[in-house]
Amino acid sequence: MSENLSLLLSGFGNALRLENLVFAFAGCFLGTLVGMLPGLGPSAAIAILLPITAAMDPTAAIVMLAAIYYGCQYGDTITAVLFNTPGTGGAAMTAVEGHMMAKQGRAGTALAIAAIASFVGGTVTVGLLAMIALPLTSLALNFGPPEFFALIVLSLVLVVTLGSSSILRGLITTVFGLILAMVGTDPVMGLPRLTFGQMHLLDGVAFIPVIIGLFGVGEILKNLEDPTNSFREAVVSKLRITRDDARRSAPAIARGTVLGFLIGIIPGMGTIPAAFMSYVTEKRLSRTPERFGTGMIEGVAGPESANNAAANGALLPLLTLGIPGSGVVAILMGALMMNGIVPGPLMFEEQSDLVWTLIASMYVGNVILLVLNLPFIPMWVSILRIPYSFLFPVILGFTIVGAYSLANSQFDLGLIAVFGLIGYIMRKLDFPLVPIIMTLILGPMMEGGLRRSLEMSQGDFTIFLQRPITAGFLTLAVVFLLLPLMSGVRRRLKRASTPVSPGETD
Amino acid sequence: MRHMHPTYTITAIVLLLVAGVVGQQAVSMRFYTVLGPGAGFFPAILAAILALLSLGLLYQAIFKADTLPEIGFVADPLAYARIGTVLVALMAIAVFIEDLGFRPMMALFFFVMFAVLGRHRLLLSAALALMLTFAYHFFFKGLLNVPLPSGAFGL
Repeated sequence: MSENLSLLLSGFGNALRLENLVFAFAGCFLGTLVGMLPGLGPSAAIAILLPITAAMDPTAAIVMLAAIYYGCQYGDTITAVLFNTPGTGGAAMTAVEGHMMAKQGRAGTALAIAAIASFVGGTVTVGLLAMIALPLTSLALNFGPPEFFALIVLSLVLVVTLGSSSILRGLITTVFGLILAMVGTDPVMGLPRLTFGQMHLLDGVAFIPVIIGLFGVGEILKNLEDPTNSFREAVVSKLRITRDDARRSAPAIARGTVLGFLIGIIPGMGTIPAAFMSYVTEKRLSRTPERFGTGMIEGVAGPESANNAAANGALLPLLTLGIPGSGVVAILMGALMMNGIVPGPLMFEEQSDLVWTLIASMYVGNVILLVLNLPFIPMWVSILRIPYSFLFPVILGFTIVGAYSLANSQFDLGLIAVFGLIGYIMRKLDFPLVPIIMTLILGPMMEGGLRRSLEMSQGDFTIFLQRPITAGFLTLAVVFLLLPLMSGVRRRLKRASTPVSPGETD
Repeated sequence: MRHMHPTYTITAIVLLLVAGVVGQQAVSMRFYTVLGPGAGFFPAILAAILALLSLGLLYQAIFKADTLPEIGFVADPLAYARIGTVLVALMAIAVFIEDLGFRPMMALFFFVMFAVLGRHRLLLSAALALMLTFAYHFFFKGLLNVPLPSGAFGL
């Protein structure tokens, strides 16, 4: 424990250096700015801002990435409260009560309590993360290739079943993403694979242009269907929190923090169910549940703390197992890998200074967000009044420079256009985007696990059933896949056994 | 009950074609070697799964169309003109940025975005395009030291 504390203190030493603090401020500022832009959620915002960190040294990049991560989450809250347009489902619950408060002239209070709830949810769970991560890592070090393969299968199944509106479309996206991840040079035999003679594809499909295209450009193309969307004038009152507000918010923040962290740890769950569960819990525990929907501060405090706590919880499988728990975390993982940091059980041993700097940066990012956002809220509002026709070229400019600067490649610029179109079509067809990001990162690990397992067993597939952890993970994956199908069949059987009344026949 | 869902039927057929191409490529590689699975092993499995899932989507699109979401793909032709302009502009940047240089291409790109898509006055669009181009150049090249292409004219 004392060793952890000294490592954390050294992480703070790195994160609090003057130049890193400047990057943290810049990250929070840019993250909030891009995160609150119309239609751009945290995933798109991080994807667009990622390349800025490519030119930095790893420590500065980590500090800035953590700040961007938190900034994007808070930017989403601003638009949810002021304009009832959340960029993600996570902030959707905040919008329900927060926007009603804004309509009553209490936008300042809603944003202030949201900032405080996010701060508490963020800082407490970073502490939990620091405490739990190390013991879990030593457990993960006992995993062999079959266990890793089974764990990745389970994670992908959870992402598909819990995070997609249709399991079939979710599975199609997952397999499509895995095929994209196979493009490049075969890691064992060194043969070009699915490259169709393109030299540019020998190193695989570049991750950053793909996510910039899918999330950034795809989102802009969707918004261009109706670019006249503009925000109304928003009035921000004083950022005053009364004693009654604080008394009502404190328990909601505490509950939201615990609930959010526990839900966030499960791959595929993410911030949406965390915020939703917190909102429902607050409504159930309230003495006046009928007043929910009219601007109850508990409905802002609980979901906001749960939202941030879940965002941190999703980092636990990343840091301990190298498996991202959500789409945003998958993008963050790509960013860390771009800076030479490979998340996973070995990271705490081989790159411990960078890991603890990352954890310390999360604390710093949370504090800066609180300091930065409260006084800047009126400025954010004025930026949101800029018409979209002025904003989207600026965002597209970032995507162009970002995609080009990573490898100085014209081919990557073409990729953002192609994947922008794919992202737009996928949105229109209601195909989930997150599985592609997850599989682009996890695909090579999954294939490696499968191939090494079969090498170990000399081609015998029963190796996956002979090892208890592997069998357990795969059984869970099958159960999660079959559960929705079974409930669908049961519903159909029930409907078939119910006699049809004459009025229902047509 | 709705009739066949054309958008998802086309999607399923395209996905089937993708599965076919990937399957054909996978088969042309080594499927299994003395050391274990070859380069084509995992792609072949994925192609087979994608083909099965695509057939599932095709079945849903033809026989269970009412379980799929309605999609207004050709709602507003102007919207698709805007989307097409952005995509063509991005491709043009991809093709010409190294020959013509960062600043001329970005200035042209911003001008098209403001003037054609934003419908702002030509003078305002030109001024904004120039301002943004130099701001980007200063921020990325001047401050962050990001290498940007100068092109044949050194711009």
